[in-house]
Amino acid sequence: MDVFGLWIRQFGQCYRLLLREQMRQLDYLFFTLLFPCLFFLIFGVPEGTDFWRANTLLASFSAFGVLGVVLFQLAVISAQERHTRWQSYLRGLPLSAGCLLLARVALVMSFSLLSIGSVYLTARWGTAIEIDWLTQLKLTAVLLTGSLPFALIGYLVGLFASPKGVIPLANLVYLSLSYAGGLWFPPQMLHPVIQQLSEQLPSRYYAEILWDIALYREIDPGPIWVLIQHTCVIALLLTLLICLRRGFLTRQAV
Amino acid sequence: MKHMALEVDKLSLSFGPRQILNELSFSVPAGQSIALLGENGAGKSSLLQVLAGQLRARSGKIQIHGLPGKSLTARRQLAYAPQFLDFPAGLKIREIMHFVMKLYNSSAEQLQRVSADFGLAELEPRPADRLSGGEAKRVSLALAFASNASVLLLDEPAAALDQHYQRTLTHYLEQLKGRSTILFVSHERPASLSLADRLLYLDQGRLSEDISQSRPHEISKLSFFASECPTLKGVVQQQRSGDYWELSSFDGDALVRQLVSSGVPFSHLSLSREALD
Repeated sequence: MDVFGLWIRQFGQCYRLLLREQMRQLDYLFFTLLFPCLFFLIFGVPEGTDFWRANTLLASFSAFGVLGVVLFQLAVISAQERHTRWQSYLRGLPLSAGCLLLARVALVMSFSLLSIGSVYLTARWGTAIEIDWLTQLKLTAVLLTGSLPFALIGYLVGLFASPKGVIPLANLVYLSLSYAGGLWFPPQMLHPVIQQLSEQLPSRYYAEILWDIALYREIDPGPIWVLIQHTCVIALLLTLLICLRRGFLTRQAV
Repeated sequence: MKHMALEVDKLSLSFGPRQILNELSFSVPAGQSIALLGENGAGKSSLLQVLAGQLRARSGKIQIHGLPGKSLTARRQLAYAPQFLDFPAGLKIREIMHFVMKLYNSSAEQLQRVSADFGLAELEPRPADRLSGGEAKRVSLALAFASNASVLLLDEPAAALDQHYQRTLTHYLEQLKGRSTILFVSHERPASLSLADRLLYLDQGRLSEDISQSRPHEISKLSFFASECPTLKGVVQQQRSGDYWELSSFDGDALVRQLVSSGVPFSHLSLSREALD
């Protein structure tokens, strides 16, 4: 079997194993569904009284829910599992490079569909959203693909935080990116200093793309390019830090 | 020249300022069984973890059947049963076993046979996080033996096993002798050392002795009273209770000679010999 074929096969095996493991943890599934839905019920539903507000809130809170899974949960899972004997054992198995990590990233991205679904259903029930299925599909696709830089940030946090230190650190990163990125309040309502900061954050550009889709506006390519640039920089930084941590740049072991 | 299954060249590992392995070098011909010996903290388990790819060495070179140790083809040739292994909640033992076996391209029949020998049939449907230490050990040994890997790294393989499964383990090690290359760490059963063709003694991350043995048939036990014990070569096991010392070695006479010439005061010296298995 060629190298790529083997990689794909092993990726599939890792994904299925992780999926089984996660699916049997019912409390994980329940709270992944409940948290964004409850948050939207408290803060989104009372404000979603017209098309513009309801559709903006749907996009913002869906993004917040996705960040909760791909950034916060991935960071916590990575940090807490890294020191387990099972993870050490997996590192010793004949697995292709990056297979397990990418399977984990793909899994959290798949689970973020649950939070998108729960926010959508709550919005349908309690707000004045007007969104057709094709637009919702487009929104979901962008929510998933656009979450990649946040998954990388989540992994980065999980890689360097201790199992106990990861929760406050991941919370800090996740809540700051959400708030300053304009996912809770429109950016123009934020403090001027935060507004300036907002323009440097990937969450702001992620939200900009989602708002365009949810409000049936023509998509501005600017935020897409900035988000791609952010993704590349984060991926590069992550690769560099992994190499430094594993000593690829400083040691001579084969 | 005999084909080398494992070649380790100037391998060093450190945790912060603590040097765990210090420019360790040795080669293992295919089919040889090696017992890794040394005191706690000598670096035995760390060496197996580095060879298995679980820990990354600071410097040095590992080759498995002439291939770089990190290559996927080389890693397929190597299986590791750790000293302790915990499994994650949410998975069943059967799923874990099939996952690992697919990575090694091992057959279902092979897995079934090893699984039956290690009494895993009843464990397979059980949640993986609810196993006792001995059960987890049986699973990790079964995974190593079922992998068909030609190099086996076994860390304290007999620890936590009851007598029945210790016999199963010995049976497997005897069967694989000469066919697979085996490195094992053993503390609890000096008797199992009779399965080794060669003994490697580690001391503070360095190779202090490398003894090729024609299978020994007996082990000597040396006991004495002393306030301290000098460093003696060839000690397989060392126990202390206050001033009372008990040392095991394959060459008791050499041990007595070393003790006397060390100049350390001692009393009530006793030497006994025990047949192995």
